[in-house]
Amino acid sequence: MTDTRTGGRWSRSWWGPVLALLLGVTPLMGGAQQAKAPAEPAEKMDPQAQRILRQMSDFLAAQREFSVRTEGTLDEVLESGQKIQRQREGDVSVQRPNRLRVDRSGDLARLHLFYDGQRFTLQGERANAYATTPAPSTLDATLDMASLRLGLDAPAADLLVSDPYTALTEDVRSGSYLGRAVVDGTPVHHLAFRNREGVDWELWVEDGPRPLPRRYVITSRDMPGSPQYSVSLSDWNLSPQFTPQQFQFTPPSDAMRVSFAEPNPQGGKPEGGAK
Amino acid sequence: MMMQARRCRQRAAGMLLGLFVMGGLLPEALAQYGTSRRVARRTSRRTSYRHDAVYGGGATSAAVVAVPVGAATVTALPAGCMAAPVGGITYQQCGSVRYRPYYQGESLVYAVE
Repeated sequence: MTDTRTGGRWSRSWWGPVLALLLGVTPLMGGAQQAKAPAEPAEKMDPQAQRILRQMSDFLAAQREFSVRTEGTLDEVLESGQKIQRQREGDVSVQRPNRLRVDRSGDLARLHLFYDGQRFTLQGERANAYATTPAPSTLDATLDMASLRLGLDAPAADLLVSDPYTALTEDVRSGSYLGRAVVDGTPVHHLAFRNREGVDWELWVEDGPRPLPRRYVITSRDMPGSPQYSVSLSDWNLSPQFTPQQFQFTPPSDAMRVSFAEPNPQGGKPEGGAK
Repeated sequence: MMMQARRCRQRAAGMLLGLFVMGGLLPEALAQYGTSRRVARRTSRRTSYRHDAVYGGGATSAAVVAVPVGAATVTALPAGCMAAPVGGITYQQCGSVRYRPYYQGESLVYAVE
């Protein structure tokens, strides 16, 4: 499923049915879009929202290294329709262009991620297990690999890439400025955006000389139950004293080495394949 | 080229079969997870384009392995298993059944070999 090269070779035998499917579905989609169109004109970005988002992105991109504390919740929608909220918190350390470390605790596990520019490792503390794989040479590509090939999707990874503005705005169809607010005692600007593909998101950006993201909420409104991911970002340290060892993984001698499983193309993780 | 096309078709057929088999197993898997794992996802699809550019789409390594289609997986092992390291991977021997551990996303799962 991840092998795009097969796409070309499939074409002769598969395009027929695929086209038929597309044609069959298109009238429905067209109808839905037309019905929505009056309420949501395309590409309506409030200039102030755009400016603040740009400032935040440029400021973040300019930080060569930083650490930040994250506390968040992630909704999961059960087959029955019941929505479950999972809590997770962690410390994220980034050194551009190719170092990442995440120490996370949550409802399910205590996990550590290591990326030292060459290898990407996931370590589970409770299970005393780890999986490790060669990784691309940049953080951007490694985040993509983690998401697509390992099924490890960090919803807020868009804030960590080298060009957050492009990553965040790629699918945006509208953005608005909702005014000033306070997050964790810090004055912030509240921004809200809608994407073309069934995702809404909000961002609270620190007001002042350090335009940092302080809170980030993603709503997947195209999924049943509209699950949300929300994270607050605190304790920003823009001049951390990192050592190279922090980003390197040394397996404990009694740890169990396992493989990463490729995301299941059918069930499992929705973010890897279909969307 | 012909060979490739045929292999590809075989793979497609295998995948369809896999979907079918997995479809049959799904209720059990869901019972374990208690969830369909539909979670909020990130805002952008950008990744799929860039990833393919960087990794050529088909790059593989032994560290990332597809769980065999149709293999039964569990999230907890029965009692009395013995660790059995083979080729750097720590298999688990539970009586006559051998499990191979994987990280599936953030979940540690064991697939029957």
